[in-house]
Amino acid sequence: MCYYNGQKVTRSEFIRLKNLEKVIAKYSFLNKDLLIGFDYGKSAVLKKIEGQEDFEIVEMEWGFLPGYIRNREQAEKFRNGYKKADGQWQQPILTLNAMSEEMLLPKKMYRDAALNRRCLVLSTGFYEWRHVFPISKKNGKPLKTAVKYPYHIGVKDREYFFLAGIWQPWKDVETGEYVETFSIVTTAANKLMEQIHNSKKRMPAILTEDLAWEWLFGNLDENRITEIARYQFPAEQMEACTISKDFRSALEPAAPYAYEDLPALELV
Amino acid sequence: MEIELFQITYKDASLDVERFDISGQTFFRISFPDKVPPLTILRALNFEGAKFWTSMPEGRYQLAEEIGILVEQYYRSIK
Repeated sequence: MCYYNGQKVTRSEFIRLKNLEKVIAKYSFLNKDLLIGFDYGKSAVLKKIEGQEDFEIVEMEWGFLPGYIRNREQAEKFRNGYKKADGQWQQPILTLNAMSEEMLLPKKMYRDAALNRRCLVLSTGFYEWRHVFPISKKNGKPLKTAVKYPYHIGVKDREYFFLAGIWQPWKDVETGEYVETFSIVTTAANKLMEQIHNSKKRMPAILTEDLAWEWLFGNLDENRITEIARYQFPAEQMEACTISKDFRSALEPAAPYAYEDLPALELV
Repeated sequence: MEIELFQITYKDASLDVERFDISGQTFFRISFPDKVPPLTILRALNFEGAKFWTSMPEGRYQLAEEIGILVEQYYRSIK
């Protein structure tokens, strides 16, 4: 049970009110339809207030930065890759997502955050690409190069929902800049997401209201953390529609866009 | 965003009230003549499903209740 201004309210009302607080304080900050991970931009994240069953909504930088990255220059190299002294190319380390099945393994950079700094990422919908291999007119076999179709995916009848996340405080030791960075936890794709994100068959760990609460406030052992992180939100409660291929620069990125040549998704 | 302006009387003082809607929710922002910080109030639902006036952010519940009643009276008076 929750209290807001001393009144007993339901969990959903409490979350609604807390969300509105942020909307009021920083209306422009939540008024974003599109967050693209590779921009390493700021996102709205629910973070537990220590010692209380309460949270604050803060801006965090998407793209987990471990403590051993000492400054922005190193962060840039870490995220984008770089040419080493011997001329070899060092591949970037992508930390937008943390795999639920692996994040608690010993020596994983996410382990401490998963145990001690779990958060919820507010989402009004996310974007994923479906890969379709056209059939060759010459030999009737699928071509090797896929055509990619973007989808906007959300939860039915919900303006926003929660993704499991983990966060990490980070400081540039040279400039003193302090930011909090986060990674979105991913799980195996459900029947809907298997068809859309068919190249990797993964999806963000979308949590129900109760699981979100437990993820943020629960005193959880490793088994339970993994169990929640691996939760597959029911496909039948989700919705997806194709959107324009130039959605990144569109005024309304989530606006539906139909592709005549695209086979329909199988109903789940 | 459309903003409606009106006034209410609270403890013999005339207070300016702005009404605005964000994210499908109606808010009232009340300005005070002295150094009292502006107050934002709205209607919320308690556990039993009844509506109550609350401040946003949290902390000025009592004042929200008192002012909220005056806002209701204002709307009744102009019907």
